[in-house]
Amino acid sequence: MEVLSFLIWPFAACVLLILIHAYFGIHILERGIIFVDLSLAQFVGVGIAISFLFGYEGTERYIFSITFALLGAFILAFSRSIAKYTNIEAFIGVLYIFSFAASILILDRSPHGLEEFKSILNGNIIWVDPRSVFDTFILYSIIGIPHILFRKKFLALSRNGDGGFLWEFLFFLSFAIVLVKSVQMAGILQVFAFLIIPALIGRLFTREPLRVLITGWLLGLFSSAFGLVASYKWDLPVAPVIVASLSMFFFLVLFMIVLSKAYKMRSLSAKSN
Amino acid sequence: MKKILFSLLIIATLTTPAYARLNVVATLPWIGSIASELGRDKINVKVLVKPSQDPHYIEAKPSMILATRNADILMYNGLDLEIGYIPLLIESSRNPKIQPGQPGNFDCSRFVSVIEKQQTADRSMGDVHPLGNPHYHFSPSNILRVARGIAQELSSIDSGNSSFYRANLLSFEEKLRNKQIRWGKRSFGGKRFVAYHRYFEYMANEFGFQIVAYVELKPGIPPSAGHIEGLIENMKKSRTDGILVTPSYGREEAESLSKKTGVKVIVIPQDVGSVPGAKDWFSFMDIVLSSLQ
Repeated sequence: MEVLSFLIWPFAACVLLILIHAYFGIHILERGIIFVDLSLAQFVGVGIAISFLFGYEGTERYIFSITFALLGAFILAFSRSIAKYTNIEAFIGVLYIFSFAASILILDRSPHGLEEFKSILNGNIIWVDPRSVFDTFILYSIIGIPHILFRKKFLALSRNGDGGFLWEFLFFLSFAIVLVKSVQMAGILQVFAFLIIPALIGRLFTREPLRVLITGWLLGLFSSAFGLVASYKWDLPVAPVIVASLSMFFFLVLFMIVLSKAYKMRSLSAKSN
Repeated sequence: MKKILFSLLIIATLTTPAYARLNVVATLPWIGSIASELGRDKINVKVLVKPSQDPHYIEAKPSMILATRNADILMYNGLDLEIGYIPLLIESSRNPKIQPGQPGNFDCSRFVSVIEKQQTADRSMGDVHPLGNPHYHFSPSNILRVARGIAQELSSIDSGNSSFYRANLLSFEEKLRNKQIRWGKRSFGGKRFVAYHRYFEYMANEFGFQIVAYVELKPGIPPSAGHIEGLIENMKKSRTDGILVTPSYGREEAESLSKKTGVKVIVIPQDVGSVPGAKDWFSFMDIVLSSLQ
């Protein structure tokens, strides 16, 4: 019973994270900008670093994060235009290291150190309480509902770039807002894993978005449950266990698919001989 | 009659907690060491941070939350050292005994005469710990006060064993007096050190040496090129007896500084258990002080 009361809120948080990130993951994979979340999260970090500089906390710090989420979404809304001139993944990489460097330079002038900054930027799922699960649920719903209503619009946007600048901006803004919340709750490692791996595994079987999503959700939930129980049973840090089990799952499925393809090829060539 | 007996039995179990061991959760190894010294077999001690870990952060594990859930007392360093996880730990434990303001919430720094308190409200001058320097575990005079506080705490929560705790405190004080005499014979007077970060100031005050400069001005922020250049310049100009670092932090930077200036690097264990032989606070201090010489 104690185990259950201990694991229930982290698991509820994992469910919420999986639901929304596997969805965004499909878009990110379609767009082929895998590291955009690291980059965007770090960019929002610049806003948090500035709030450190002025000694702000709470609401004021939140306003700074949102401002930088807006700014980051605005920059990334140009990503298709930028891609015409330069390698977009490289651009995103530069944005990441720029944001990291800028945060350090700002923190150099503020009373806080880098470690403290990192710990504020990076949460840990083990600490979540019912209240923050509820807040997250509300926030994700506000972001999620327009994405359900305009799902065709958003998908066409990610697949073929159909839609204007405003839609691109709305896409990245909603992604940035989700990201700030999830990284502060679960840390960058887990959020990155939840974003990419479930969608990646789903795409090994099908390209049909809904099927990818459902496969991703199921596997994500399974790995989270496994990770949380393993973390409890063997007393391990939670996020690394979840991330490692999810990654192992991906490698395993990939290996089996490669193996079965190779086997089919061999039996085919054996027949033709 | 049965009812009366039964309720008497309940009252008896509620009012005399003497036969169950107290569960003490300590954030840092030195706190655990002193608590064990005073509580011995009457308490269970669980330490959260490993000796070689940075005390500012913990990699949160389920066992930590379970331990705080069952804790009678949570003992911590205070002065914002554990600010990154103490509030989260207390909240997620949902343990009424260790909530702020309760007797089971035990901030060791209450008993310390704190140095480097920030007087002004303006924190932009660059001090990470506005409440003062939190690394007082290198200071025997403060540790004595903390030990008295811990003994008092154990006695008040577990009153049935208070004479046991008092006796242990007396032998702790006796041991410390003897050690102090031996430590006092070492001479550090006039020694000048450069330190990696603000860790050794209590010790400098108490044992009479000087820390003339710091390599790193803020934790995690690399020092500027100009700062390092000035530091090397100064170390060459005036005598410096060593660069003080802890095993897990700043060692490489100190080694490179040492190559450029010829000043030796002195590695000081950061807490009880972080080097072999530092099995309790006394042997830890023995090692700390002999490595300074």
